[in-house]
Amino acid sequence: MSKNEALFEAITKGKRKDVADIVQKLIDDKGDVVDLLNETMIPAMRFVGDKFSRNEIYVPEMLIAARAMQTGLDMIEPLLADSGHKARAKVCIGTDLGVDCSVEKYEAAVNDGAQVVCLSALLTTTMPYMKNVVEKLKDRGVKIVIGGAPITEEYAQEIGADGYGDDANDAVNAVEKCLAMA
Amino acid sequence: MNGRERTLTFLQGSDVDRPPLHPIVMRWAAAYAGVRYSSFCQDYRAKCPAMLRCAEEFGFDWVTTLSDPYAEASAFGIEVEYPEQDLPVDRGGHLPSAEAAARLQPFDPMHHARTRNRIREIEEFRRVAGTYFIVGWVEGPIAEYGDLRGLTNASMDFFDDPDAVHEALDVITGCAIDFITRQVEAGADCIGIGDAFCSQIGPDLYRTFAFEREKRMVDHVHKLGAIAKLHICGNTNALIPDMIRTGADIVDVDHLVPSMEPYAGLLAPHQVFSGKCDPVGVIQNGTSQDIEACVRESWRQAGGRCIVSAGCEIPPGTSTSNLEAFAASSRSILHSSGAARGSAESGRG
Repeated sequence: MSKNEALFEAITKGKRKDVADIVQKLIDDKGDVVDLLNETMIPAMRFVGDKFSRNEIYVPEMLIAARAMQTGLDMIEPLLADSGHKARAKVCIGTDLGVDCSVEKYEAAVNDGAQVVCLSALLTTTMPYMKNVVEKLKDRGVKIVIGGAPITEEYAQEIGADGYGDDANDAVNAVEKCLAMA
Repeated sequence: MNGRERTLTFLQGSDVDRPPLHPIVMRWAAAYAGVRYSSFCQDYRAKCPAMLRCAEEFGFDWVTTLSDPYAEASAFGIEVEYPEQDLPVDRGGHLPSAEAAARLQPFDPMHHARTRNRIREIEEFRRVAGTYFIVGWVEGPIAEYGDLRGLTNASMDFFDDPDAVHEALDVITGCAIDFITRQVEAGADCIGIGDAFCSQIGPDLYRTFAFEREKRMVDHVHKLGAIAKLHICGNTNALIPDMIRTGADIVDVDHLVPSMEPYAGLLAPHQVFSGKCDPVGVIQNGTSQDIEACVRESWRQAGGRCIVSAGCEIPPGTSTSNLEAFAASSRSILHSSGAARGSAESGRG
């Protein structure tokens, strides 16, 4: 199955209703959802991530694309499970937990099976807390990837993080590297 | 020449003995003065002496009301917790929808503890620190909307319900303008407009939702006879021309902007940049040589039209010696380039 152009565009433009319509039709037609995920949905988010990396789009555009992607994922998830498709890893993303997350929240995620924890700081005022999280989780066998506006690769190394992402897209690459190391 | 004279003279484009030094110190100042951060944020009687002590001992040219972004958010109803020695934490009370945001009710700054405290703070600075450039503060429209809705929801609202966002932003801007008036009446020389979230939304959304409202705020500050400063930290490379177009006298530039050089020529004669040393990589973690080199490079990029500052807050882990080196570097520019001149002539040269 080749790329579904309409779905690709709907995800990249953040049009979640269009995504829902297109995915529902594919489900009704008994289409291959694994193929849809691998050939269209993941490439669409990669495309969005690349544009974000090049400063062609910004956080809001990225978020509505991610929301549209999630709409489609929620619809195909039961079918993916039925088809034997397995997730590659469990990753905890701090921004999905909320803002100003305490280290206890990350510990709970690790207790729940997270293999990688991703942390982001928007301001210099919140970045020192990352070191607390790294220190608290260092003996748990979990990998930690950090990023955000004031964060640098040097800072990641300094506090003992396992990876650094210059932006969300780069963070995905860092997580993949960490998983290969694990 | 005191700090107030130095800053105002520099902004007018006349010769000064050295460029003004305006580092953003918040948690650093509280820790240095031995003040609990919860008090620093909420009680002008704790903050004013702490800020003044830093200004006196390190040669800063300004004192500011900066501590955290939640003064207006508190007045709008956000629940804020104040840990003793850390930044305030937002504990809820966000507006549930853009529609609810559109029905936002204005607040009277004198009827809420945090906003009233800021006005008292400026009065106190005017009383005890009148030789310094006194800077009050308001949240910019986008930053405040982000505080009230949460950044993720706010980001999506721009696309899902732009009309409601515009309505909410008008209320926020109206409150900010009222708060500006009270602060200038209390004695502020300058009002900083902090709109940090803008660096995350890009130029198109910035022009659609933020620019005209920031400009209204700047125009209002000018109408009151005060100086306007626009602070958007993060990578504002795509926003700087518009930030300059707001007419703000002081345009903050963070270290994530590759260079101020391409934009220096856009500054009007009354405008200067402020920045852009890396607060962590250079000011906190660098050597005194790194700090001096960074200050010189900022000065060069801006063609001499630059207040010495870091792009954002000096982190609390910065050593006293590094802060001293930062202050010394503002003086050393004189030795390498003669009298610091804020004039358009040297700025465009």
